Amino acid sequence: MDDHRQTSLGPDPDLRKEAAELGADPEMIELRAEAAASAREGRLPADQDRRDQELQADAAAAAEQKRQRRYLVKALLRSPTFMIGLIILLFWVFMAIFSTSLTQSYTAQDAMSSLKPPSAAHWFGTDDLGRDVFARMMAGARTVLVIAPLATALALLWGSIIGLVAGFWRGLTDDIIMRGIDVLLALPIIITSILILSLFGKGTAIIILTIGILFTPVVSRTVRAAVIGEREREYVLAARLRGERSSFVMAREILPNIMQPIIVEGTVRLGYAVFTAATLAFLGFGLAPPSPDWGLTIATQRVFLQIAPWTVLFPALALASLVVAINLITDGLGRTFSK
Amino acid sequence: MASAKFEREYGQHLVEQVLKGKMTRRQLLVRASVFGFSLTAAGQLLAACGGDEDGTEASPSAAGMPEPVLGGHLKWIGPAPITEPDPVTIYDQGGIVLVYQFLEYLIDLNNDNSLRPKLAESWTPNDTVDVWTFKLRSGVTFNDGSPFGAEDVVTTMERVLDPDNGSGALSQLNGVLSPGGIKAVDDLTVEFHLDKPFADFPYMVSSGNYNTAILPRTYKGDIIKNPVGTGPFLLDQYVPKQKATFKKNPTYWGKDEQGRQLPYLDTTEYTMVEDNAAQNLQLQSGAQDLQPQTVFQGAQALFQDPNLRVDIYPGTGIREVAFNIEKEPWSGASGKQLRQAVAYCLDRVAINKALYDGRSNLGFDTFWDPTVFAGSPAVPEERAQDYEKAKALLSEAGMADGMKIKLTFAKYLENPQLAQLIQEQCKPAGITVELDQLSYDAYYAGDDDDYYGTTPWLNAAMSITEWGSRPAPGIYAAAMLLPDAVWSSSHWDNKDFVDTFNQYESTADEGTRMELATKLSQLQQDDTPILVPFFITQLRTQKKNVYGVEGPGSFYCDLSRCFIAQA
Repeated sequence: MDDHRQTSLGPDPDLRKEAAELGADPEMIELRAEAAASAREGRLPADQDRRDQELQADAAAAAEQKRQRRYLVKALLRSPTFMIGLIILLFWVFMAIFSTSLTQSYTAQDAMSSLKPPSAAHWFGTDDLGRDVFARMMAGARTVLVIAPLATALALLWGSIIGLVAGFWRGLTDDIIMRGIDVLLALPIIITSILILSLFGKGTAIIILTIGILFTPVVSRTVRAAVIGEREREYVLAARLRGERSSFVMAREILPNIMQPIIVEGTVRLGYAVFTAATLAFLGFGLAPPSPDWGLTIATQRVFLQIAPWTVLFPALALASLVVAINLITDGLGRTFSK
Repeated sequence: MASAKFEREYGQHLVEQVLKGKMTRRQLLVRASVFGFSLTAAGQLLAACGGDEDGTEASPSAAGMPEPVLGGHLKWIGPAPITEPDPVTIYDQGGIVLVYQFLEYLIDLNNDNSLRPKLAESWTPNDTVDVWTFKLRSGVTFNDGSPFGAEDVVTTMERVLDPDNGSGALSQLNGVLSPGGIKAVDDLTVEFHLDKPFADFPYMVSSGNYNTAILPRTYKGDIIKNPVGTGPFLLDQYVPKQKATFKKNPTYWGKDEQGRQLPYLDTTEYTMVEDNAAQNLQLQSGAQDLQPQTVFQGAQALFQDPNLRVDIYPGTGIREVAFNIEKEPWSGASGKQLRQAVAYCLDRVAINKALYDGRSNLGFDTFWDPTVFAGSPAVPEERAQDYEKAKALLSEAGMADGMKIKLTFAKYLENPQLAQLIQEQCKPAGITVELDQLSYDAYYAGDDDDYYGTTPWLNAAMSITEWGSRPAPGIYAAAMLLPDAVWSSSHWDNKDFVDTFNQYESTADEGTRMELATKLSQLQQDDTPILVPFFITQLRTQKKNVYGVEGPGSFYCDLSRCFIAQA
């Protein structure tokens, strides 16, 4: 710690140069660094007034943040794209949770009335085993709405950590991490997933992990780019001058300020995760009958496309509606954020 | 040899059976063919029975068949071979359909499971049915110019009998014929000395046992590089996973009834497409002339297509639902009740409707089923869904609250659908079926160090295994219901059944065989080592002007008499 005080600019000897290059007021930086240093040593701040001013400024900043958040929510509620997407998404979430008690049983078979077209008894017709297509379509939301969000959350978590570390440290750490990420990005998602799933077996947990891992590199790139944009900002420099630990700066200073791009990235990934999960189910990896999963259903009923198109059409529409809904949400969020 | 005497006595015996009403004319023809009677001889037997009922069964495509057209190019479609084909070990449709364009069997199988001479001209058993003498066709040459003779038969059979070669033919021949049991008497006579009497033996060297195609004595295991055989076509070009082309074998021995040189076609091209729906679309678009095997699922569109003809053959293929009697819960003292309980949960009519549009034949857990194997005794009990009985059996076995079982199967053909039907139909009886779906490769993977090895299909507690057609109940039983059967998923070992079965196969007396078959059928159904919910009807799709495709019931497809009529 002693060497820190040798220069008033704190832990990083390049900080002064860096700050000057950015056009920040070197005097201000020095003063704040001094204040931080004295606070650490238990000394009272030199100027009580300044401390009050700072407190007021903090309160004002908090109020401003709240106001901005309120504004964002209002703007989102007024965005038709966002709202339509949200309503469709909530519909599927609702169905995923409650459909089994609202519709007919999705496993009940009536082989004698297999492949029957839509009717009053079966709104969307029946499949090859005489099961109700409507009930299966509604129940099919469950698997995809478990897999896709959890996989996306994992990708966001790991991607954010990697992106923060690489973007914050830069230098050799960044080089090593990002070259690794480049390698991972070169892997085709579906083929790699199939490889992982064939090696480690099936099961929802494995699918979630696989998609999570494979989406991590893209997320980490987005996060890193955002971090690089932020790390040169004054508040970050100030936090570093205060001598905050790097993990604190990343998690408490930078992260809150890059939440918008992360949220947008998350919704984009969610859409892709839905597609990837459906593709894997379609190819027969992971989910097995009698799951009403949309991808699996499309795969098994595909042979009846010519004679009983409703068996494929409805799960395909369901899948499309969910992906479109998520894209609308992404669009709404992006537009609102950029305003 | 007993040939003339045997033929006279056995012929008389068959006629008596028919006159006593113990056998149908159709069954007489089948049995006579198994014992090597020529069509003429069998016809004389039929005439001796009196009446005017025609015992022969025309092939579905024979109805209204025009005069054959010579020449032409046939485009046909089906799956690619799973691995590079080797006739000794081949088991998949894609491989079988290809190599048997230029290879042939001693005997061919007809639609009604009667036998037709091919490379063998005749065959007769001795009095004790444990030595069979085959006379080979003379003047046949392989397509490399070398002559066909007894030596080729001996080496071919020794090759499939060698356990190190891992031939599927062993699944039938194991315990019936051992290495060293085949003797070349002269250049055109071969004797098979069996381990035990076996009245159905000719089936085992017919196209009903597809690994027994005759290869040249010099065969080195490289059939694609050296496609040497006696068959009607020559392999011209083989592009893995894409296509195979064939051209007419100009030196082929076969001639039709009018003395015309076979095959009729000049060339054929087999396109390899894995996906059934894609195959069907190609047929509908007119891009292909023939699909040797049509899968039921999605075939409805083909039935409706005005340009296509879907032939329906009474196949004997099954999906064996096996209970491994060495695994819980089927192993215990009450295992039999539990197996029966599952059997009574099945709604076989619904299964047939869902999987095969109701076109297959119902099965009742026994192979001796007169609907598919003519001349079999009546089925002891036509099992139907009966939850009360199932529940009673469960409580008898101390499982009144139901039980949990696991069903293992490959994601292949209609297996997943069948598994789901079983799962759902077992629910009302309180039986919870967990589905364990494996990939095709995983299901059949595993070593064979031990007798059954570790492969899931022979070791899972309960499994679904797909079997292509077999020509006789005894052939099925020998392959999966005996303790020395190499393909036994049930590991069933019922001494009473084994003893009865050995007696059944050691007599040529049809009356005794009938009595023993009745007992075998009862034993199999009662103990229920496997479920046989249906016998699958075979479909073959071709353009309306394509005729003469033969070889139903197995993957083997004979195009020697195929021709394309003028549209």
